[in-house]
Amino acid sequence: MISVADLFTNDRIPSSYFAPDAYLRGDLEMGLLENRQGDRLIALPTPLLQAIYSGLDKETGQASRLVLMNCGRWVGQKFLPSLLRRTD
Amino acid sequence: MHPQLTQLFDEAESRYLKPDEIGSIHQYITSLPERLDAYRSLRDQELALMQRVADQLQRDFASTETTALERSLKHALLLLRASAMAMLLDDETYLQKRLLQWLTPTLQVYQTQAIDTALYRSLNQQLQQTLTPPQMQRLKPMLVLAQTTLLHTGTPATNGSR
Amino acid sequence: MTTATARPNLRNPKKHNHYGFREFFQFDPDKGTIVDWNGSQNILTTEDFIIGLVEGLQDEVGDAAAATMYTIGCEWGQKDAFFFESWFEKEYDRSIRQANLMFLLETWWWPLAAQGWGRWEVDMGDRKQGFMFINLFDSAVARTLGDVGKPVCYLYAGLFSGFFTELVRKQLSCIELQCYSMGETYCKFLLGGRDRIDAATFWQTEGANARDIEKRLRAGELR
Repeated sequence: MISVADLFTNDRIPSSYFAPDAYLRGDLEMGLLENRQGDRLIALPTPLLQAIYSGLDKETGQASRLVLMNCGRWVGQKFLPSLLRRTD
Repeated sequence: MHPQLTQLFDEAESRYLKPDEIGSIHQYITSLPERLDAYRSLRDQELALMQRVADQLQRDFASTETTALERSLKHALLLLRASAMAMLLDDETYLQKRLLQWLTPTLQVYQTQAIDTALYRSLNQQLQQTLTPPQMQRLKPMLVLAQTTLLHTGTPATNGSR
Repeated sequence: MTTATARPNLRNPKKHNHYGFREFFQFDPDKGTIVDWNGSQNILTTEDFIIGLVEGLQDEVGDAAAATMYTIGCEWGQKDAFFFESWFEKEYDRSIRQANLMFLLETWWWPLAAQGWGRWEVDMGDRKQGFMFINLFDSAVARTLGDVGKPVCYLYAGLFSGFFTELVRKQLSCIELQCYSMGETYCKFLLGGRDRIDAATFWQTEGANARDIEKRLRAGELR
């Protein structure tokens, strides 16, 4: 026997955490962006992404691939726990 | 707020609103009491209404596991609540962004069309019986949009189906 | 009926106050892209990206990490200057050379604020002497790395250096005089010619703080 009242948690049903108009929050005066959980976000625009590659290439040459791999690995390792926290 | 109204406010930064634009705003404002009335009615009746839908669903799908039925019911509750809000705001894009964009692919994963089709039929019947005709008229466009998008019947999804 | 998903600035190109992030960013969930008002694609990340980049650098190049971040910043500033020139001229119908300088700078910074890079204040009071100060609030780098006892905003220093060098067509360098990561409430940068920056760097290694350096520069000292 299904009880509809039991389907709710605090009168809510989990929806999509990531709907863009709900997920991203910002304070333009302060120059700050954050997600729903209050973690700071930054937007990396194309000029910066290009600069990361060209800057790394200039300074580290061959090592730039490793730098970016390490960076990616770090982000990836942090991503799942963070995602789980957000969708819990 | 209806996106066209927001756009009006944007465009009128450097000028006064034209008569027909004021008309649009006036139309929305005067429709608000009715929208609020429909919204409140839905809010107050939701639990009883959905329980009747749930009972019917269990009768129709007696051999289907409870988790699947509960999942469809939860999604239908979201649909109802999002439709109610979209109706209040007179904003279809709210429905798209907050519900349809993520729920449509989710339903495709779970393959619940059969359950959902029966559920929506039952839900619409219950709404028809519970809400007044003017209230139903307010809610219907959003309901239809949501249900047809999710079931991929009738008008094609505006969220870009694959 | 839904509104068309045109690029935001096509809907109302003359709308200049479009930096509320809702208008600044256009999300396309089907493509999984975010395009900003000026047409640049953006990636939204958490602070993990900054940490990852810094750690990744430190692992591979150790002490050269700071210099590398500075170079990346310079590259960013330079590329952004070109990008800025083109969208500014499209939006305001005039060349950047014809615009009031403060207006120009504030216009340049607004997208960066909308993108979450913090708030700034430009002190142009000493411009005639060939240097200027920039205050930065809520540095994305320093707030992320926390209090580590030394300046860390090499990315920003490079950004200012690269951007202003392109803007004024003179080689300008930038160092951070005080940093949130040293326990200060905001970060302060000095932007100027090589000689000024060298002098400030020297005084810094001798233990001078931001206030001291400011005083000495304004007094005309160069050594």
